[in-house]
Amino acid sequence: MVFSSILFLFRFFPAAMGIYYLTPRRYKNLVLLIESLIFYSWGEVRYFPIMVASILVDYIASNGIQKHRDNKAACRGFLTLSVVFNLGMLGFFKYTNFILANLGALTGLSFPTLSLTLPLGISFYTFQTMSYTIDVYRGKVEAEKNIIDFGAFVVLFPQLIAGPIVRYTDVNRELKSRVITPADVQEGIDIFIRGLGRKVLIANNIGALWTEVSAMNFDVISTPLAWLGILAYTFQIYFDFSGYSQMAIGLGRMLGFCFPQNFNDPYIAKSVTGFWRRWHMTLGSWFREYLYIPLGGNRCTFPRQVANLFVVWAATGLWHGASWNFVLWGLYFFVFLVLEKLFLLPRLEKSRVLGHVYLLFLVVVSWAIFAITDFAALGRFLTAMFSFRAGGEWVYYLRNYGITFLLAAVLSTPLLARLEERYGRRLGWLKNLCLMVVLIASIAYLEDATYNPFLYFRF
Amino acid sequence: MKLKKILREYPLLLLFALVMGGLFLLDLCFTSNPYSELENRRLKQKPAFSLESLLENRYTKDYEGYINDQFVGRDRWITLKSVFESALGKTENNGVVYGADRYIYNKLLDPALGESRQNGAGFGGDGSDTPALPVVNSAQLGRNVNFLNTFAVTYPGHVTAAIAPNSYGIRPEGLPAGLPNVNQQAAIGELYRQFSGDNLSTLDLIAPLREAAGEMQVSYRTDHHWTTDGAWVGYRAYCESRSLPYVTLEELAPYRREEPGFLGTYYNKSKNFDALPDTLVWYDIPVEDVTIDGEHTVLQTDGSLVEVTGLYQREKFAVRDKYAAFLYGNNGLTVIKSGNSKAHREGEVSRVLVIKDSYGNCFAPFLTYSYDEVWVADLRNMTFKVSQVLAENQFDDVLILYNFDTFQEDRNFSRITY
Repeated sequence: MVFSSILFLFRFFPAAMGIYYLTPRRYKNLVLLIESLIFYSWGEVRYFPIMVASILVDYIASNGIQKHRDNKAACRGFLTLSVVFNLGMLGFFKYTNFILANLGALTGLSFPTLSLTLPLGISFYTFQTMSYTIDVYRGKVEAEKNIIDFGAFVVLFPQLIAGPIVRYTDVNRELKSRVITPADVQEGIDIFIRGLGRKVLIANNIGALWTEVSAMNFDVISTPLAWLGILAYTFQIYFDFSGYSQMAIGLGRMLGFCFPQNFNDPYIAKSVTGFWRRWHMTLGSWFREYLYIPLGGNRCTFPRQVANLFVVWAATGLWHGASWNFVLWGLYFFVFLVLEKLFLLPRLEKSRVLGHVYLLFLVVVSWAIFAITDFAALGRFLTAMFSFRAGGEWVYYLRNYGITFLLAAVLSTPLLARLEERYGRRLGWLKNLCLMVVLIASIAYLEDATYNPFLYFRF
Repeated sequence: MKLKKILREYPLLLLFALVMGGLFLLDLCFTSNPYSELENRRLKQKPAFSLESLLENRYTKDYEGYINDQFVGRDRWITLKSVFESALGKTENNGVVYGADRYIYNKLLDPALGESRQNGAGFGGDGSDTPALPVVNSAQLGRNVNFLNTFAVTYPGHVTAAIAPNSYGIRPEGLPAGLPNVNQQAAIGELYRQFSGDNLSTLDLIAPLREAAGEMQVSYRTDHHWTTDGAWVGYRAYCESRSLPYVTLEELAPYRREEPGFLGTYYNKSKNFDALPDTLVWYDIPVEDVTIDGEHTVLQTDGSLVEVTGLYQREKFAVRDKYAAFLYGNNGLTVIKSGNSKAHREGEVSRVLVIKDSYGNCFAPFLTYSYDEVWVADLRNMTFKVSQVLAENQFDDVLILYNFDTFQEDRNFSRITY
C-alpha cells in the first residue's frame, strides 16, 4: 500500500489510527505490529513470510549476541548470520537477474532470468535491521527482548517502504514509552499534508512531463525540451522522495515517534559534498557509519581514503538499482567528491553564485544518468541536451508546466519556511487554510488518476 | 469552554479530523453506483472475499479498484482536479487539449516523436493501458492499411476508402502553440498513397470540410465526432465522387431538429469548467424500415431490449451521451430501407454497404437519398462475416468510412478480411 492513495487515506489510515489511539498503552505496539503487517502484505501476500523471517532472524541474532557476550566467536557467528541473511535477501531479490545478465555477457552463455517480484521496501528494511544487529554487536545498544516491540520497530508502517532509514537507536526509547500529545498529532498532520502535497501535486504533476519526454525519440527532441524534461525529472525525484519521507515523518509523529530528517533543501547546496549532506541524509549517514568508517574512513592515507570513497559510492549507486547506470551515477559523484576534497570545496563554499550553478548543473546531469538505464539512449539524450538542436515543441510544454516549475523551484528553497518563521504566528489561520486546500487538491488528483473515460460505447 | 480551548490550540487537528473523518463516514454510507455515464463504463463493485482470491492478490487489487471507483463524490473530485489543472496554467487535461475558440482537441502526437507503447489489453478501461506517449500508433496503422488492401483485392466490386479528419485535422491552427500533434493532412495523404487496388478509390474529406468550416460548424467543440452538418459535407463529397444525386441541406431544412446542451466525450475527459456546450443537430428523415442484426429490437448495456422504430433512439437525445441516439449507437449490421432515393430506378434496388466507425452513425441517414437500401456495418460489434454479407447480397458500392484517430488504433479492423 502507498500513502498517496484513496485506499490508504480513507480506509487504512482512519481505521489504523482509530484503533491505535483507542488501544491501551501496553498493547499499542502489538496493534502497530499487526497493522503494519497488514499494510505491508496488502497487494502481495507473499511478502508476509519474508517479513516474518526478517524479524525472526535479527531477533535471534541480536539476542544471541547479547547472551553470549563473552564468546567472541559466537557473537561473530550471530552477526554473520544477520549480515548474510539481510544482504542475501537483498542480493537475491534485487540483484540476481543483474548478476545473471552480466555473467551471461562475460561468459557468452545465456542464463535464464528469474521473475521475482521485489519485496516492497526491502532496500530499506534490510539496512535497518542489519544496522540494529551491528549496533548490538558493537555494544552500542541492548538487544530487544520483546519480540512484539522488535517486530513493531522492523515493520513500522510509516517508514517501511521508502524511508527514512530509521535506526533502532533513533526510536528505542519511544518504542518502550511514548507520550502522544494533541500537539504532536497536530504537528504530524501538518508535516503529513505537506508531504502529500509534495508527492501528489508537485512530483506526480511535473513527473508527467518527464514521462512524456522520456518516451520520445531522443534523436528528434529539441535541446530546450530535453532540458525541460530532465529538469522535470530533477524536481519529480526530489519531491517524490522527500514528500514520501515527510509523509512518513508526519505519520510517525502522529503515532508518537520522532523519525530523523531525511532531506534538507538539497538543491540549494553549493557543492556535491554539501548536496549529499542534505539529500537522503539517513542513507548517507548509514553508509558512513556502517561502511565508510569500518573501511578506515578518513583516518588513513589519502590513496586509501580515495579507495574507500570509491567503494562507498559504487555501493551507494548500486543500492539505488540493479543496473550499471546506477553504478556510473554513484561513481560520477565519487569523482567530484574527490575533486572537492583535493582543492575545490573551499572555493565553492566561498562563492556566492558559482557553487550553486556548479552543483545544479552537475545534479541535473546526474539525474539523466540515473533516469535513463540504457547507455545508448543516455548518449542520445545527452546529445540532445548539449547539441543545440532547434525545435518548437518545447513552447507547448513550457506553457503547460511553467507554473508547476516555478512552484517546485520556490519549494526547493527555504523561502517558505522563512516566511512562516516571520509571519507564522500571526497568520496561523492562513497556513491552516492553505494546508486544507493542499489536502483537498491532493484527494482530487488521486481520485482523478483512476478516472478513465472511454470514447466508445460498450467497449 | 474546553471545545473553545481545543479550537484555539489545535485548529489544524480539528479541521483535518473533520475533513478526513467526514469523507470516511460519507464514503462508508453511500451506496455503490453501477455505471459511470461520463466514463462510459461499468464501475467496479465490492469484491467477494475468499482466501483463494486473497492469496492470488486478486482480492486486494479488486478492493482497491472498488474503493477508487466508488469514492464519495467521485465526479466532483474529477471536476475539481480539472479546475486545479487550469489554475496551474495547463492547457490539457486527461489527454485532450484546449484549443482556440473553446474547442477541445484530441492530443495525438506526430509519430516521428516516438513509438506508441499501447499494450494489447484493448480498451479495457482500467487505466492500465494508457500509453506513456499519446502518439500515432504507426504499427496498428500499418496493419490496418494491409487489412484494407487485402479486402480491396479480394472484393471484386468498387470500394471507396474515406478517412475523415478529426477536429484538429480540419483546423490545426486552433491547436495550442508548439503542440506537436500529427499533421492529419499529410498523414491521411500518406495513407491514401498506401491504399491500393484496381477497384479502390480514395475520397478526400479534408478539403471539403475545411472549405465548409467557414460557413458551418463541422466538428463539435466538446466531442470527438463530426457534426451532422459536417457529416453531410462528407456525404456530398462522396456522392459527387460516385456521380450520384444527393440531398441538399435546404431540402432537409423541414426535418432539421436541434438538441442544445450537448457535452461530448472530449468534455468527459477534460471536464473543464469553461466548456461551451454544443448543439447536436439531427434530421428527422422518413424511412420505411430499419433493422439491426435482422431484428426490430436492440439489446442495451443494461440487458433490456429496445424497439427499433427508425434512425434514431430518440430518448438518447435527452441524456448525456446524445450521440448514441444516431442509429441506436454502434451496432453490428443495420439495414435502412426508404423511398427517399433520388437515384431510384423502377424495378431495381440500389444498395450501399458502409463499413464504419461511429462517424458513420450520423452520416448514414443522408445516404437514403442516394441508395434504396443503406447497409451499415460496424466491425467492432460484428455478429456476421463481411465476406458472407457481400456474398449473399449485391452491392452497388462499398464505402469504408473511419475517422483518423480511430483508424490508427482500431484493433478490430482486421475483421474486414473475415
